[in-house]
Amino acid sequence: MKHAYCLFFMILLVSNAIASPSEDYRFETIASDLEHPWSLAAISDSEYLVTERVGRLRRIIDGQLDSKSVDGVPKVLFKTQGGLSDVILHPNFAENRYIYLSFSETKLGTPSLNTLKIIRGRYEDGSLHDIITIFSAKPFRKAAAHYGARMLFLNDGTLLITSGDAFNPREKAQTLDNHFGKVIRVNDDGSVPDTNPFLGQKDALPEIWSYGHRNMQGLALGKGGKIIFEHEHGPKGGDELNILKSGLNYGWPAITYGIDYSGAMISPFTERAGMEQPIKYWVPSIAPSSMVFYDKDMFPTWKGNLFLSALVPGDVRRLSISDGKVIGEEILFEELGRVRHITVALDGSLLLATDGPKGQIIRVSARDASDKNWASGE
Amino acid sequence: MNDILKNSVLLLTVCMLASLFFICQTTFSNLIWLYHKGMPVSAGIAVTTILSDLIGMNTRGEFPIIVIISAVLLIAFFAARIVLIWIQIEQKYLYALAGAVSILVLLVSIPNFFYGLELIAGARTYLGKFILTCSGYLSGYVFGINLCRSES
Repeated sequence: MKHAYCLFFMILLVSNAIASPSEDYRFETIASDLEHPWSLAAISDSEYLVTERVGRLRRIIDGQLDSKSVDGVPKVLFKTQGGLSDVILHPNFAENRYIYLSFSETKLGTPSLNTLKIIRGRYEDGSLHDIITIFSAKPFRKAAAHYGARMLFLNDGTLLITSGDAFNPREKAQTLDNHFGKVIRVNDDGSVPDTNPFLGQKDALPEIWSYGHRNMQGLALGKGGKIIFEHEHGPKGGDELNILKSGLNYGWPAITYGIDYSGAMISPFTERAGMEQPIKYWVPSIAPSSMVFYDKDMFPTWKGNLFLSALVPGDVRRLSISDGKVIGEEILFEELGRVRHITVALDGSLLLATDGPKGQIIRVSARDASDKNWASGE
Repeated sequence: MNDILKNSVLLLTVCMLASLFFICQTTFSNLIWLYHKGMPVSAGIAVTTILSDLIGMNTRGEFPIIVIISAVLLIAFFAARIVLIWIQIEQKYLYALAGAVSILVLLVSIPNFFYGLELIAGARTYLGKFILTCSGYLSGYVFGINLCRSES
């Protein structure tokens, strides 16, 4: 009995330690009626770029959604999960005005086939100029699904791109002669860095940085840019949060914690030597859609945490990380429903894009002592 | 009344047979690939995976496979029965053909209904589709033969 009491108090102690108190916050809707917003990038505290999956790049300036979309965005394939996806700024955006867009595009002359494409353009006067192709996933695919399409600049100036497994040919995630189920690493002009792990290897595409992934829609740099976090959708269960490292195999579909949509096992194995384990997985699925590492001062107790937006049932997950392990998880903003994207504004507030044909951009700011019209989470 | 009951049991048996084919084909297509990738697929793992899929594909999936197959075969056999009124053909072959065509139509239709996604893993290749179509043929053949016997 004594042992039982001890165990109970230890569990209580540990659970209190990992669930640090949540911050007081308030919501502010800064744009509405966006058609399937997918990603947003903060240029300044007063200007944001938002992608709509239908193929438009929109601007929010001084809290107002510009009715005119940005000119020069290439035609995209808006179908199933495809469309205009991620937008990110070049690390030296202030000088070169480069932005990067990911989207799905049909094959020229063969509309039944499509692929993931990344372009770079110079954003000036509400238009894109000097557009070049940075990456185009090979081979083309039939289904408009599982593109990944998330991008992240590393501290060395190279660009990571997630290229999903295309759903039907999932086994290709385990071979290096294609871009399905791979994390890609290129220079900011699309050339291949000479430090890529499979460069020069026979039957391997040189852009590949890691493999064995499914549909990865979250990339984030940890503190100091030393750790790269990546999350991916599992099938029915088995969503994963991984720490990305060069040249490693993350196992899909040879090992997985999920099952197929038909109810069949994809693999009876969950681990195997030479294949990386996630630092966290979710069964049932939460459908993680994006991720950001919080390193600002607006919410002091959230500093150093990972925030994941999730589509099912629809919320944001705050993860406490220690030594590369997840030690706590808090569910936030459930009232918002499906959250497609989360990022951090320059002032430290969180910016969320809600999913759907009438998506919103919502700012989550710290509670102002003078603000009397709100309660936590309102 | 007795014949209706007999035929219903026969139809159910045939649907279960086709479902068993579907499930085993999906399981084996996954396991064969895993084996070729050097995963430790043993006989024990194969058996437990089949058992798991038998339950999983009828309870954990987006749709119970036996319900879908039963519906498809029921429609196909009903159509075959009507055709038999006008056309003189050995009914075991007609039911077999009906079973094969219905399963093939099902396999081709699934991606059209689900945005190009192949939800039956075993049906992603032409070979997989062929094997599953054969399972429809066999099911129809078994149905046709046994229907013959009960009617004669």
